[in-house]
Amino acid sequence: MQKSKEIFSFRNPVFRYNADIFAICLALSVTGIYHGGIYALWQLLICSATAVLCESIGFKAVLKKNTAADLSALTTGMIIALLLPVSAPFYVGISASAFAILVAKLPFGDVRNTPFLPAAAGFCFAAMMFTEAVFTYPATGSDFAFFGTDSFVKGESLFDMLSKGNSLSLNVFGRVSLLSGAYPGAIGTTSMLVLAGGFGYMSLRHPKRLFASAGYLLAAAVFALLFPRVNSGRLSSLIIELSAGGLVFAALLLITDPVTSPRKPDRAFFYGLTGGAVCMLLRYFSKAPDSACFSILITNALWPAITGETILAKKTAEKYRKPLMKKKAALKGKAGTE
Amino acid sequence: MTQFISMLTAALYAMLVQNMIFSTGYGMSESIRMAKRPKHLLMYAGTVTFFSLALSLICFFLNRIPFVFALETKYRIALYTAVLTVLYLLAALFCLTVLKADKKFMNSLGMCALNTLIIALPVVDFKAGYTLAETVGTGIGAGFAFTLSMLLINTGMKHIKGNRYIPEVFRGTPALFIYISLIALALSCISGQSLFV
Amino acid sequence: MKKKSSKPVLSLSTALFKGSFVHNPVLTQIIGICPIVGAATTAANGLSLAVGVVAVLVLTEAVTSLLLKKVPRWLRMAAYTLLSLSVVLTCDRFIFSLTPDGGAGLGIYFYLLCVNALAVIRCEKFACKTTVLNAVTDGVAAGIGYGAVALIVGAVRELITYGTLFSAADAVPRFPQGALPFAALVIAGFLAAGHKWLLIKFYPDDIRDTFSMNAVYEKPVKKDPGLFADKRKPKVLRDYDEKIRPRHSAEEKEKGGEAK
Repeated sequence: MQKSKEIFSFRNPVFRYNADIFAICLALSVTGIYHGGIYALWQLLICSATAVLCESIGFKAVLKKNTAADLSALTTGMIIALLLPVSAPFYVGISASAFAILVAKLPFGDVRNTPFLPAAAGFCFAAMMFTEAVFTYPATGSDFAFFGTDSFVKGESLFDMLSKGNSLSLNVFGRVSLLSGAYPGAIGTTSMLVLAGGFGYMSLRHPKRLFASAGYLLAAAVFALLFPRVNSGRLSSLIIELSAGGLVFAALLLITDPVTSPRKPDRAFFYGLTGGAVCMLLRYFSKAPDSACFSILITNALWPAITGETILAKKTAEKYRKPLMKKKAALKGKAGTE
Repeated sequence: MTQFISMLTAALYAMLVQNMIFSTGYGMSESIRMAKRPKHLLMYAGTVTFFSLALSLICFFLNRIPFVFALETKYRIALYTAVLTVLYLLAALFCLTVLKADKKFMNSLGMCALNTLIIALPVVDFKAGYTLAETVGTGIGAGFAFTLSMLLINTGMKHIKGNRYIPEVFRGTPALFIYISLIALALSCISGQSLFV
Repeated sequence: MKKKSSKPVLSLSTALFKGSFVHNPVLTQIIGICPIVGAATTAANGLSLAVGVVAVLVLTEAVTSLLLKKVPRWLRMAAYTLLSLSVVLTCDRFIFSLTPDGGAGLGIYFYLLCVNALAVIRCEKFACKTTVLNAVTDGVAAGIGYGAVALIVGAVRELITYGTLFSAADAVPRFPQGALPFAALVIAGFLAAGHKWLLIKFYPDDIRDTFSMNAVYEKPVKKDPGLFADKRKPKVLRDYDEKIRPRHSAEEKEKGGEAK
């Protein structure tokens, strides 16, 4: 049985990956707190604490081990918080984080074997149960009561603009607000500059993961260019569609999850392509304002069905891979001596 | 051309937007049991599609009769069930006598034919007031939806089978229920929403 | 060739208990979940479904055991449907009177019990191979087990959706999404996990894997692999477990020791 010291160690690959995700989430949280104030911090703390607590108690009770030290629960909680608006009531974050850990993660055991991304599942649950609270964003700079949903000025998010065919004015101020995240949206999905920084960090630490992001963004870009929803041109459509909602956030943090996405870069690219296409189809044809997390879940379910890449298949492949590599090495050695 | 487009739209709707297995539960236990045997996937898919299409068409024409149109829901379902039973018996006789089908196929024919999805389809078609083209589309779409659900559930079964870390209390049925619930959650964002409306 | 004895090896109460709880058709065999997912949105609906399923099962299994043993299987399937339909059409008014909304919440799901897989599978597996008394007992036991799950799922969903119990007719839904299928499946999943925990604690010998069927009235078959049993594991994985994995774990332990 792994001890906490071994779990909480950079030798543990799960901890290493989650530490990088935590760093990216921290950077996004800073901008979120800057725009959303103290309530954004509360949202982050509540979601993270709920996730860690559920993992500690749930896994201890069922699996007799505490895996909270590998930071996976913490990053799950933070991702859920970053996808929520700052005005969402506290019970939304709590229920989403609890669902993510207790329903999407615990029944499948180890974090390395979850078929669906827990953070996406938790957000989808909150989106279905508390639709209005999750998709209503306060106007930037507005004041509101502590975790109240009605006592604030509602802002017009990019989704609202897209549904009416409007677009954000892409002058200097518009571009600055897109880069800095100064428009109504979720806590961590609005600042394009910080998200770009996150991509840069990922390219240094886990470059192979970005193939999935590339596919995801490419599919979204193609849809946005071919079927614009705004009246101000295809380029505006591209910029607004990519900036709206959690699309770039999902491309950075959700589609790149090493457990649910393929390991090989070419497969990861097509996996991302599928996810992006599903996300844009949902945007165009469903009424869900932010369909990124739903697209992640659908892709998690569809990809293994289409390609046959399940845990059983991966284990079988690994079973043959090692002896095959040994054989190849032995043959190379023989060829060298000859 | 418009008829073809409306047929295609209805088929896509039945398959993806209002996937009857995950959004309403029709045919869920049959699709789970059939998903256990992926080798016969095509056979199950073809049989279910045939019966869903055939029953939808027959019931569409039956609904043109004023007496049938005015029936209460319970008698309507009774009529559709009787029609399906007759259809199944004819199909079984055909398979036995002409195709000389083996025992395994005959055993699965009943499960494919007499399931809740097939009966629910003409009721949904009637309530939605579908045209002939749309009825054909939903019949085909329901068959494809059943196939899709079998594929997805089979993948879940393989995942659960290969996962050695599932807790003892969740191994088997509980994990499968949760897996299917997460698929239903993912599809619930589009279920109930009209395509192209 | 020895004839299989159809005499019950269990007492009636044990047979009822085992058939309804230990070999629960929904939680261990995943049969007939369509009405639970679609219609068990309130406790009253769950109760109606329970009564309906017991009625359908008892009658269908009794008639099957009495009259349909010699009939070919493909013909029996049609007979089950027509029998169940007759039960459903005759009992609907009484059963709908159990619900405050007169059966409106059940929709067409109640009538779809005529093609429910539960009756077909129970009849095929047990009723056509055993006596009438055993068949009726099996029908009652399976119906009680099914009904209990429908009732619990309905009650929990009603609490989530309306915040009431057995009085949802006039209530305003707080969370209408509690009536969606995924909620029923999550509740059923955790119910199945709790059921399995109880089985592991009190009836470890009676645990069967998913889809494995045993007649409650015969001696349990020891080797009956379900979908998730180890015996179904492919040879590749079995070889891996037996030969390669112990070597790898020993190598890893040595490396860990050296690193320290």
